[in-house]
Amino acid sequence: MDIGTYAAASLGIVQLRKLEIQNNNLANVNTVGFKRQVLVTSPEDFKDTFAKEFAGKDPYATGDQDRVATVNEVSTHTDFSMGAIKGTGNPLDVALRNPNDFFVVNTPQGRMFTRAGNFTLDANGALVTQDGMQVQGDGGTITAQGAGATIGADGTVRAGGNIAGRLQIVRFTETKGLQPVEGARFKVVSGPQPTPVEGFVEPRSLEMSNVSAVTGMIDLITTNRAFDAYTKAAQTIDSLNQAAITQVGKRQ
Amino acid sequence: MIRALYSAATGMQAQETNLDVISNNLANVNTTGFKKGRADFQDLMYQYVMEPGAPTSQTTFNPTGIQVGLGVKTASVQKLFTQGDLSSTANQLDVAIEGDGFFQITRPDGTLAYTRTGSFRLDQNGQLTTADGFIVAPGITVPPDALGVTIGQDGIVTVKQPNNAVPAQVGQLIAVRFPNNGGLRATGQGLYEETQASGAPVTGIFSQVGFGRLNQGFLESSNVSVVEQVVNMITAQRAYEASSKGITTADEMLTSAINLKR
Repeated sequence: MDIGTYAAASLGIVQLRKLEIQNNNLANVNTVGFKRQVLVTSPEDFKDTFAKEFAGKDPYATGDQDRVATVNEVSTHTDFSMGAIKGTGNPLDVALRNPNDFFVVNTPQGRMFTRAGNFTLDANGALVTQDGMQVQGDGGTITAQGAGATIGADGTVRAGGNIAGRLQIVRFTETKGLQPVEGARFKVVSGPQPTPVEGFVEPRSLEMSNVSAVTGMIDLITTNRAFDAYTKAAQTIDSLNQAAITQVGKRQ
Repeated sequence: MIRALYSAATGMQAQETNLDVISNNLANVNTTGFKKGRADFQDLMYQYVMEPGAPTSQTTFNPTGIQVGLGVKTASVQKLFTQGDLSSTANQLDVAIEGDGFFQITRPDGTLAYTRTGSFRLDQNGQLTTADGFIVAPGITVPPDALGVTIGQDGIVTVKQPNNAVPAQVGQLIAVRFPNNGGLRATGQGLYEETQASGAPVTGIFSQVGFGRLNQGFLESSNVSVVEQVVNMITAQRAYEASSKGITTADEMLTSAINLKR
């Protein structure tokens, strides 16, 4: 088959992948602490795998003239820019002020990090996430016994007039090594571990998703049109092939 | 079919739930003792198309891999037990709790329920009941010749009777609180039930440490703010529309792909 067909197909497949990621972002436009995912396919990452293969077989190939940009999907990245802070009035809602700070959550899969501060209490009064994972304090898990549990600006959890504990806040110097897992949580897969800091929180507030519906719509349009362009390219090449088959060598 | 269709569909479903909760809040903006609900969302699991650390050449590795998220789910719909405004009614059987705590109610089948709606009545036997006729624990009977009922800040109910200068005590309202109010199951009629998530009820006395103060002649209004709910409604609607556009786009791209073959 023609190299161009493969190029168009591989570019089209990347657009499909982009759409999957964009739709996941849009689905999470109202998810507390959600961070936008981006598929990165920069021009320097274009690979000439097919071209190499063909060039190796083509005795007339000289240098770059046969290079065809076929994209391999490169990688997904998380955009850790801050989402809007929304006041909720709920005493167990907190938002982190520093964009590199995270809360620590103990999950069955180990220690994970989140910026979603929509905490609640479980039946024993332990501070947990909305899906029941315990939130790490400076000295272990935080158990708020007594009435009227609140979280202050320095992360101190108070209940019944007593201090129940303080939220552990950790700071990353480098967020590239964080991978999203479900529940607006992240795990460290590479790079440095975070260090505990004296972080500050915005009480009675939540950091909302950093997905913008406007840019989400624009992304959808560009993805859609790019896909159309690549399918059109594939169709054009197909027409050329068809013309070659039916016209070239036709006897007058 | 492509994942994009499904993840966009989860977005629409989540916003439907969101709108259900918001509509119920708005419908109860004038319901005494009503506590607003809030739907909390979480992103679903991520599917690894390429694991991070996959080799990209003999010496280089992909630092982050490719993960495709599968959409969103409703993690919980929690009740927010923030204080509602107290409004004066001058009715001697209206009581509002200022602070933490619930009244305990015995339902007709004998099971216990809890409420913050303090608009009480007397039944034909003079027993203190809710508007639905459920008995308020521990069961307080006001004698028929009572001239006036006083409910103290600590829940002690006294009545003034003719021929008696000293008001007589007829009972004391029980105060109940839970380790986790958000885990209570709302059953309607302003009542809540204990669940495994709420923890076991702790009984006590109103106005004492950990319990709120009672205010006779007041009712606790709903804690729903119309402005907040309408703003939430707008964001829910726009999020719903955004996800529906995601589905349309996926559909159009699939059509283009199918039309490749003539």
